[in-house]
Amino acid sequence: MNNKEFISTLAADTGYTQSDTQKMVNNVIEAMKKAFGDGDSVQITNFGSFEVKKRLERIVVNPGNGQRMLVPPKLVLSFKPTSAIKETLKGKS
Amino acid sequence: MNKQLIKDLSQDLVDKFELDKKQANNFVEKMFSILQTGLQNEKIVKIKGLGTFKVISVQSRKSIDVNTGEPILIDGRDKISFTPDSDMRDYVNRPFAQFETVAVNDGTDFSLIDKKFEEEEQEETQEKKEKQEEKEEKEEVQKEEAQEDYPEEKQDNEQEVVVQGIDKKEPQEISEVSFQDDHLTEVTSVEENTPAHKTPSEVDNAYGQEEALKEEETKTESLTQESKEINQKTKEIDQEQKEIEPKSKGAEQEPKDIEQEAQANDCEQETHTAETEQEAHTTEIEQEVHTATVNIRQQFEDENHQLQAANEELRNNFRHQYRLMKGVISFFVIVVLLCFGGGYFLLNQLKKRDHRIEMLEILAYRNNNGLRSSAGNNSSLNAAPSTVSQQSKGKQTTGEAKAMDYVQKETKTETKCANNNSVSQPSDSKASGNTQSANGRRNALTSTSNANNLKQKSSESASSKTVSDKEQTSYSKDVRIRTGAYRIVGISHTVKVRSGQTLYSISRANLGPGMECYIEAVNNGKTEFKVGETVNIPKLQIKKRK
Repeated sequence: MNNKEFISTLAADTGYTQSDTQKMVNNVIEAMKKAFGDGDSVQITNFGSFEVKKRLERIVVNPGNGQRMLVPPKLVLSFKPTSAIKETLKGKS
Repeated sequence: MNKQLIKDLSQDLVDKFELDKKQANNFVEKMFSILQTGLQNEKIVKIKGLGTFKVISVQSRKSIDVNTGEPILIDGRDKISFTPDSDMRDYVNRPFAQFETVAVNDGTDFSLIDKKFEEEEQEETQEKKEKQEEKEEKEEVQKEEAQEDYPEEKQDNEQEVVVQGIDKKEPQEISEVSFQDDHLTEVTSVEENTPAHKTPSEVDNAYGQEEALKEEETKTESLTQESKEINQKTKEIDQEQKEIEPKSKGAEQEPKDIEQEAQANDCEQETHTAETEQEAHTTEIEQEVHTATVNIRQQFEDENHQLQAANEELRNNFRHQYRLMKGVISFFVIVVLLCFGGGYFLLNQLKKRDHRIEMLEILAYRNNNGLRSSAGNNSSLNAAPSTVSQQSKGKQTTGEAKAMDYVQKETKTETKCANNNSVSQPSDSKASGNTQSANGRRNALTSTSNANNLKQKSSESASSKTVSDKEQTSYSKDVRIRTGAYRIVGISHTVKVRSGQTLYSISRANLGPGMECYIEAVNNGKTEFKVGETVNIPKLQIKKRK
C-alpha cells in the first residue's frame, strides 16, 4: 500500500476529498515532527509509540579492507508497536 | 520528554482546518487504524513524510532457557519494522547533522586520546588539590603551634626540677618558632603570588602583612640572641642563683614568645581572612557576573518567547483575515457573476418580447394582406393564416387555385368547343353529313385531347415543383444524402449495366469515388444490379453553404 492508496482509502472512510485528506495527513505528520524536534515521544493508542533515541558514536570495521571508521552519534526515530498488535501478528503467522 | 497523544496531534488540525475536536481526533485515529489494516493486508504501508511500515517475518530459532539450561525453540513471528522517511530522519538528526563518519588510520592509538581526556581532567583536579593543600598546610601550622603551647606549659612545671633541660629546650623551641615563621613567610609568599594578579589592594595588604611578619622575625631573632647571652651568663654565675634568674627571664621570655607567636598567628589569620575575603569577593563578583549574564539570557529568552508568541498570534490573525478576505472576495465574485447573469437574462427576455411584438405586427399585417388576396380567390384555405409557413402554403394554394382557374377556363373553352360542336353538329348533320360530323368529332376529340394535354401539362407544371420537392424529401430521407455535400437535382442519364460492373464501379466511373449513395437513392435504394439493367445516374448540385 503506497501513499496514494493510503490517502484514497482514508478519504473514502472519512468522507473528505483526497487533496484535503493529503493536507490533513501532512498536518498531522508536521505536528509529530514538531514533537520529535522537541524531543517528545508520540504515543498512539492501539497502535504504538514513536520515540527519538540516541545512538552513541562507535567504531566500525569494514570487513573488506579492515578500514576502521568512526561513526558519529545520531538521533534516530524509533517505533514500538503496542503489545496488542504484536499479539495479532503473532497469531497470524 | 513529554508524551504526546492523539489529541495533541489533532490540535493542529483543529486550528488550521476548523474541524471539531471530535472530528480531528476521529481523523487521526482513522489514519492509524487504516495504517494498521493496510499493514495486515498488504504487509507494507508507505506514508509520505513519515516513513515506511513493514511487516517482517522472523524465522523460528533455537535458543537455551537461561534459567534451566534446556534448549528451547523460539517460535517464528511477524514484527513491524519502521524506517523513517529521509526527510523525517534528517529532521530528527538535526542536532548531530554536522558530524560525518570519519575513516580512522591504522596504528592510531586510542589510549592517547583517553589519556589526554584524563590529563585534562587531572589538571582541573590538581588545581583544586593545590588549593586544598595550601589550606592543609595552614591548618598544620596552626596545629603545630597549638601543640607547642602544651610542651611549654609542661616546661613551666618542670622548670623547678630541671633548669638546664629547659635552657636547652628553649632555643629549640625558638628555633622551631623561627622555622615556623620562615615557613609562614613562605606560605604567605606563595599565597601572595597567587592573588597578586587579582587586585592591587590585595597586594598592598599582603605587603603590609609581610612587613609586620618581618619585624616580628627580627624580634624573635633578637630574643634568641638574648636567650643565648642569658644562657652564657647563667653558666658563668653560680648554678643556684643562675637557676632562679634564667627561670624568671625564661619565664618572661616564654610568654613573650607565646605572645609573638599569638601575634604571628593573628597576623596569619588576618591574612587568611583577608585572602578568604578577597577570594570571597572575587567569587562574589564572578557570581554576580554569572547571575547578571544568566539574568540577561533569561531576559533575552523571555523576550524571544514573547516575540514568538506575538508572531504566532499575528500569524493566526493573518490567517483569519486571509480567510475572511477569501470569503469576502468569493462573495463579491459570486454577486458580480449573478448580476451579469441576471442582466443577460433580462436582455434576452426583452429581446424575446420585442421579437414577439414584431412577429405579431408582421402577422397582423400579413393577415390583412392575406385576407385581401383570399377575398378575391374565394378560397377557404386562407381562412386562418396564423403563421408565416401557413402563409406560404396559402401562396402555394393560391398558385394551385390559379392553376385550377386556368384548368377551369380551359374546360370552359372545351365546353364551349363542345357546345360549338354540339351546336355545329346538328347544323352539320343537317347541312353536310356524317363525314363533317366525324371531322367535327375528330376536331372535338383533338380539341379535347389538346385540352386534356393542356390539362396534363398544366397539372404537371403546377405539380412539378411539388413532385421535385417530394423527390427531394424522399431522397433526403437517406441520412447520407441529407448530410452530404450534393443535392440531387434530377437525373442526368441512364447507363446499362455491363457484366462485371457493380454499383461501386458504376458510381465511381460516373460520379467519382464515394458517391454510391446518390445512385442508390435515385434507383429506389437498389444496391445490386443485373447485367443489362438500366441504372439512373443523378444530376448533382453542390449545396451552397448558408
